[in-house]
Amino acid sequence: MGRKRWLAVIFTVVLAAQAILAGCGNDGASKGGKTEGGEAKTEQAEDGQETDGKTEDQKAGSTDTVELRFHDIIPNPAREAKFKEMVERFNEENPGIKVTYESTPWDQSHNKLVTQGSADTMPDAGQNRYGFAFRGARGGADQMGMYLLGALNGRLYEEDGTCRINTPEGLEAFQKYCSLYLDGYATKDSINWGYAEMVQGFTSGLSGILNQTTEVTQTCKETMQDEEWTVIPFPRSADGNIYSKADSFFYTITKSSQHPEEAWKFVSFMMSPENNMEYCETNLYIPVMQGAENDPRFTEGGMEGFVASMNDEYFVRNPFYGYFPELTEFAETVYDAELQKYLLGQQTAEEAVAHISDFLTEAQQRFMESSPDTPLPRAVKVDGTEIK
Amino acid sequence: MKKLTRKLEPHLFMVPSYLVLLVFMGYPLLNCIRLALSNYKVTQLDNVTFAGLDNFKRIFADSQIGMIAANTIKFVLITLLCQLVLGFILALALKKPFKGRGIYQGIVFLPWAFSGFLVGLTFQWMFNGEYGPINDILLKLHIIDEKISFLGSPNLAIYTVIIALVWQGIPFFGIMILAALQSVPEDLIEAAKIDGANSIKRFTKVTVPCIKPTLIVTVLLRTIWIFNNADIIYIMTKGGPANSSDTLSSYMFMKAYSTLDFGFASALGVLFMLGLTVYIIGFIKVTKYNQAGDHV
Repeated sequence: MGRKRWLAVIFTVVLAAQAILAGCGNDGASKGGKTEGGEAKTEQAEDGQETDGKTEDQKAGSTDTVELRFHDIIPNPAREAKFKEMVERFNEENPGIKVTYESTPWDQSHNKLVTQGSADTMPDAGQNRYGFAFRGARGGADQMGMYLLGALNGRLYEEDGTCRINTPEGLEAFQKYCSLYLDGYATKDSINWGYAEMVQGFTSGLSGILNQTTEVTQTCKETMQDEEWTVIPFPRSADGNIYSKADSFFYTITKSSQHPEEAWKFVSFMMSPENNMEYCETNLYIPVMQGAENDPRFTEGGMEGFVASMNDEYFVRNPFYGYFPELTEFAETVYDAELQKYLLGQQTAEEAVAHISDFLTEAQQRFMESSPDTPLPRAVKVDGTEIK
Repeated sequence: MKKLTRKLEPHLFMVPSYLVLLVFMGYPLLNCIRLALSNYKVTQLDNVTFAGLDNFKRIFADSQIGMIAANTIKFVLITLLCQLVLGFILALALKKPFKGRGIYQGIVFLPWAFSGFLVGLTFQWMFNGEYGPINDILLKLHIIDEKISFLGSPNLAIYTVIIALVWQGIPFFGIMILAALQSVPEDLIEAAKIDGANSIKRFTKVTVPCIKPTLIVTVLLRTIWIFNNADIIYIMTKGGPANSSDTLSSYMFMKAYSTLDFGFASALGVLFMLGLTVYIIGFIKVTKYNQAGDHV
């Protein structure tokens, strides 16, 4: 029972992102330009435009339709079509509210498009074949993190916010993981591999093993023969646990929203079991609802490997590197620069580990000072207990 | 009064372009300076404060910036020189009419029409360390014994980007120089011939001075464009491995859109602008652009 309840709490999506739901004014003509021009709510508040908006809201009266902007930050065509369909349904059911879908193409989703588009054109691999799709560049901290967390028994930080990567166990795990590259189990090019390159490396047959999220199964289905690939549960660490990821996407209503109630109504609509299932099916996510583990939509065609990991008695959900604002900087520039310098022999493993660890310690401790109520990022076991 | 109206008249006609400049250049420029002086990170929008010159100090304290600046000079010089020489050769080759010149011209000018994104992806693919055609050709010609990881090597990665950019930029030089060459008066060359000038002399003393204004403008424009080029680097190597193929421009882009540190990136942008302004003024002075072509 505990496990099922747990499953109900956790979404299974790896790339963390959020859909921002921003409420906005209701008379398009007089202030539409203003609110639509401002991308982030915070920016509007800063410029004092928020107050303008509110005043004009009041002027417009309450009988008009309430307009809401729904902002999708990692769009792709399938996702966009599904969202638009759901938004339309919501608008039909709620005549007083009009939600508009909008999106910002971000690099990650763009990469996915390129990957899916070019995967078809990849030739068969030459004579060289490698064991592992090593991610030496942007975003690689995700994959490495899973291995490191296993060696650190799920504890990324000490209670005072000191990062534990710079420990003998952390260093050993770092070196062992990097030996995949240094000992030739990954192609030399992979020092510069990000998402697109590693997926291409796998679908083209160059690399035998790929550590990736559910949506890659779609690319595999489109570009490989069924018998050429499969998904297996994430490997166990020495302590018997599976340290992997189970991250979720979020709907967010901005603090400055002028129609939080209507926005909440929309979020509730999107999160209703049927709609959420539909959304998950389109995006290849595993829904939080009980019963999803018996639904063939989420348990077949490669998904069974992911579900098996998550349902394992000894599954541990890895924490984020942190909730601090420097997280993007860490994942996109600091981590890979330090890793690459080590792989190129420009610094020792000790130095790389110290730099990575120090950056995280500083960011985490600074964050703990400014947000003392936010708990440490901790790994969570299947029964919901945190590893401390 | 009449005098004043007359004086203002040209400016009246210029109003549309003033407006465009103001909206698309003036505002972003001022905003960039504002950001450069503030502690503006997209991840910390609730904590934007005036930072004075902190961002500039951080730039000079950055451990990578020296190498990246040196990279940038190398990148701009090599790319520009190769584009100029090869573009000149292309223009000379296309000057005299031959059968099928129109079609040939259309094809060789094509790279200029490609987007940087496409060029980046194509060259990334060609330099692929496992099944890129360049490795394949070098292997078959027995120039190398084993495949080279061009994009994964800190010594080679920047040259792959340079090659891609040279390829894309040759036609621009070609087009500009060809147009200029076609406007060189034939009788001048004839006269030089009669005076006993050999072909090298005719080229250096007649042709080049005639097209000097074009050369100067083209070199100037290309320098700025190459300096500001970030897309091909971003697509091919993302500046890696370990910043070895970063230029100031791609580094600025990464700081803005990966690190989301707009303050740092804007400060770098302001420095670019100052640097390029000094370069342009110096370049125009040294090349005597204002008098170029007059003495012919």
